[in-house]
Amino acid sequence: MLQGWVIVVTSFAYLGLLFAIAYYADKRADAGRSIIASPYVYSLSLAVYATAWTFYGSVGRAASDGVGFLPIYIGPTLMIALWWVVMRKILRISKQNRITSLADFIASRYGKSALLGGVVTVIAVIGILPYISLQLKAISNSFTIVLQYPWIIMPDKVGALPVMQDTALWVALILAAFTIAFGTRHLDAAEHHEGMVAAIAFESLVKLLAFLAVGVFVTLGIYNGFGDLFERAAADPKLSPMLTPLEGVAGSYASWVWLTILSMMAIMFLPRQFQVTVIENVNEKHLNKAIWLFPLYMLAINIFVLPIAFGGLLHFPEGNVDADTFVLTLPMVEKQELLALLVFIGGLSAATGMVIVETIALSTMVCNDLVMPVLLRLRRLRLNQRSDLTGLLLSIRRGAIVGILLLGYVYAWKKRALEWV
Amino acid sequence: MGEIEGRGQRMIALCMLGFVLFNFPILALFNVPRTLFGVPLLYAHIFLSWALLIALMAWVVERRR
Repeated sequence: MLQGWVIVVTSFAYLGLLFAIAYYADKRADAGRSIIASPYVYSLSLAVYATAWTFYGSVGRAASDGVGFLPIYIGPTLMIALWWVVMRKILRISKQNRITSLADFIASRYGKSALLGGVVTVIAVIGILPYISLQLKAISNSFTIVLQYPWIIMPDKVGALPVMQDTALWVALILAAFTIAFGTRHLDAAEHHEGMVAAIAFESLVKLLAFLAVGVFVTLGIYNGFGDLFERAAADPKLSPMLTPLEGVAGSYASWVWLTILSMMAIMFLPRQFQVTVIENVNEKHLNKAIWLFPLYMLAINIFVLPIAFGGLLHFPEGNVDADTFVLTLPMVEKQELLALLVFIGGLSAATGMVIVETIALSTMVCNDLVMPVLLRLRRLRLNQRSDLTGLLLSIRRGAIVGILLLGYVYAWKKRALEWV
Repeated sequence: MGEIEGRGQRMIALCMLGFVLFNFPILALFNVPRTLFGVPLLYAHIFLSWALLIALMAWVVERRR
């Protein structure tokens, strides 16, 4: 059942379902009966932190250095312990000052400095582009791998495709259309996107369930539980150093601590995290549940990372299968087609969730903190005499969304072109 | 008001506890080739401490006066 058309139809059905959820949530919000006014939806929406990099990449990293990936989730847990003090304050400041983005927040702390807002926007866009391009690549790579079923062939062995058959480009364009539909249907003064939040919360559920399903399958289906897996890993001279990885394959204690601190910053200052945590927050009280539910989510999505990594290394000892793909290739090699399809959809939800929220956050910044301040200063345009700028604002945002995603694609494509040389 | 500050202080203490649990020298104690119920000691330590920290955070935030 892993033929090309099944995968494409399932993917579009999934995206259609997402859109239906978003549409319904927007309708309910307009009717004043919000479905996102719940601490559980809020907590799940924060889990947009877990991208394709978590879904596929954690296992890849764990396969080379054991626990080296864990500070990326432990750091945020430690930061969130401080949220009860810090984030409540940020939420109140942002509501009072009608903050619309991270750039806006930072600028407002320095006397509404337009220059600072612009600088933060440019830094954020440039810094996030590789990250977006990674998500596009993850979708197109996982698509290519599933298509090779029943063989396990890595995408770089499949060979170059002409631009029109390049899935990454199509993914970028489809996601641009999708993000425009989610993020710029109408202009909300508070920059709330209730439909998007509902869809993202649903995506968080899907990626968690998909990952847990593979984890349980590998741990209990292929091997006989954690004990059996770790025992085999300990007996393998190539794997045993990973069982005591610190001061070894995972680097020093100091690098572990630095990654923890870096990840503490990430949970505060990634544009998409600021978007879902601060901008989309509808009730300060939701923070109470999120403070422990969101760390619990991160713990849950990490429990099976090491078992899957060890399972993959034991299963493909020749090293011809990229560890970043173990989540997908282990079900494939065991002929679990339905599970492989679920994993593909899980990876799709991890990647699309990140891309949608990140581009909406960046496009708001580009529009409010970069383009509009410039346009308003150009006297010839006489924008300050126009009464309604809604159309203009929405057009700028749509342009920014398409621009950011195409740049993300070009970034991925250029890197690949360099790899071929 | 004192109640709110108290919770804030407890959460800060938990953050510091986390820094101790996930840092040298505690990590070095567990970075040894032994197992706990078949799970390597370091992994068991990290996940159990993490779960404990989350449980304590939930307890501090959700507790009724």
